[in-house]
Amino acid sequence: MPLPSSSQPASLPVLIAGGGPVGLTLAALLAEQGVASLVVEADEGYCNGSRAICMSRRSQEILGWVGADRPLVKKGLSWVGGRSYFRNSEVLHFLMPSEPSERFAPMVNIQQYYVEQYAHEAMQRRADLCKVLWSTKVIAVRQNAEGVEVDVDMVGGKRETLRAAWLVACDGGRSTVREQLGLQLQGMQYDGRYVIVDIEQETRREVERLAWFDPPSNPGSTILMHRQPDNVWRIDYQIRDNEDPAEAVKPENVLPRVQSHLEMIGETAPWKPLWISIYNAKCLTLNSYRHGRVLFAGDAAHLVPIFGVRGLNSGLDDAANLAWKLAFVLQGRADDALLDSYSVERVHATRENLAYGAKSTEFMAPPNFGFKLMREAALRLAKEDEHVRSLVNPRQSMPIRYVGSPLNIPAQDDAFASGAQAGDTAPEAAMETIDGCGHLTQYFGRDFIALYFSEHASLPEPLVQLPVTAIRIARDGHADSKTLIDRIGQAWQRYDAHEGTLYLIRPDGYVLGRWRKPDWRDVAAVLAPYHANLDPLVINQRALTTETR
Amino acid sequence: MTDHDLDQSYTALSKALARVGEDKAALFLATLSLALLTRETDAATVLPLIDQAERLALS
Repeated sequence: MPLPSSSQPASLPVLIAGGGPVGLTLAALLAEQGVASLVVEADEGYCNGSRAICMSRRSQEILGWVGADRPLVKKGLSWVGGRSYFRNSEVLHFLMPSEPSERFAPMVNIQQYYVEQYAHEAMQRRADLCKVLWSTKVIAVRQNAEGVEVDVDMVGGKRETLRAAWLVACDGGRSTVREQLGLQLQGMQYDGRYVIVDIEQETRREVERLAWFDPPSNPGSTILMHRQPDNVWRIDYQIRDNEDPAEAVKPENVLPRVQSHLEMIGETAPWKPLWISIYNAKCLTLNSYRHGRVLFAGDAAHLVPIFGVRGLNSGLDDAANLAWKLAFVLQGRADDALLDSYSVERVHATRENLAYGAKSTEFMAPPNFGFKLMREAALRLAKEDEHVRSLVNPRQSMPIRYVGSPLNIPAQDDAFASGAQAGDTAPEAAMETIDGCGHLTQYFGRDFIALYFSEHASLPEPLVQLPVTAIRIARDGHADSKTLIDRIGQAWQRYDAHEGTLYLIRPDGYVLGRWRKPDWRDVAAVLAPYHANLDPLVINQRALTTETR
Repeated sequence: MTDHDLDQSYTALSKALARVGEDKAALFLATLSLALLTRETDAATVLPLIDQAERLALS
């Protein structure tokens, strides 16, 4: 469905309010599914200042579905661990799971404006299907059973009405769409305030997450530092409970504290400030992310604490979950009730992320006397007693299991001892492909995939007939257009595979269900709700390819 | 103890401390310490922990 060429299309398939990283990525993901969209963004261009920095492995995979992973990894700074200090001593050194055969590092640091740029460039590669209208501000939203009408103010002050079948609100923490629908985020906020400072300074330090509790440079405070590209340090420090936030962000109050800390840690190169702002941790969400024909994603849907870096990372996972579902509904492949599962799954994920974020915040910005006292004890003990160190661990971002999702198929899950069950992300594995060394996750992100573990030379005929892209995972032999070779054994091990094991993977890389001995009629029935009007042969003829990415 | 259980216990303890308040905190912690201490098998395990806590409190 191509994008209409006039500036006032009769009706768009999808209108996206908000051209931040989530909105831009969603448009690019929809384009990968062949669905047209229009993004409207109030600002003139990409964001400035210091916003999201840490991109998780899953976010890198999602950006990979639109070819944005390569520039991200090239520009960004990878890291695998971090250190925490109490006063003058190191009390924790943690490492995230990582190995040389992995496709992506556990975390990459990069400024949010680069993420927006790369997502926008992905959109521009599909300019036939998607574009951004900058300096275009949402004023009003109306919907009925057939579609949505959005009044916007465009460049030059002209007001127009855009019509779409679906509206996705990706317009951030102060979402206009949310306000227009009369919806409010529910939850709580923490009182502890952190000043954020970006500075430019060269360093020889390794890239790690760094945290100081009660450092001599800033007694009683907590300080976090993250390295970013272009010689930028991001520094977060907590202000005292009785400090006035408006005073706290003034350069004369910020720069000496920064200088004191840089001296303490031995960073003596010349430096200059780039950005100063202030925040407090929030645990807020809508109770539903679907309201008729209006869907919510990213900060428009939820605000999570910064500690544990689940903000933008969960926003991108919202987009990943939504894009294929919206596409399937627009293409008549699935009933629009599928969009209710977007809300069920991502609200669940938000609640899990908020719980983790709250845990991290309770340590980083203790909200009351009890947490403060216990943290004093934990930090003192941590240096001598390894048992308490996990309390100091920041609990970094991870994809969430969709427990209780209506889409999960129990299938033959009980027959497995390990591996990923329905509602888990499908595990990564290093594979031999026809293009050389690769990874399983390179094949996810667009279609339903059937992973069939077998030593036999070809796929079973009933599987070939199903409306799914089938991939044989063999232990040895030669890779071809339908076969990957698990030479080092990671896939068979991580999927707890026996001969004939089948996993169905959703377009967002999550497991739909798994079988030890698939009954092909059951498998066909499981796939049926997603292929209501499609010729099965069209789908399963698609060869394995990652060339478009 | 698993990390999860440690987390759960630490959080419960922090919240209980907040509820009893600063004035009653010492009594609360003394009561809890005694309950936990009696579950150790001998003094040889406990006495060094008392020394450690004393040292860390005064440092």
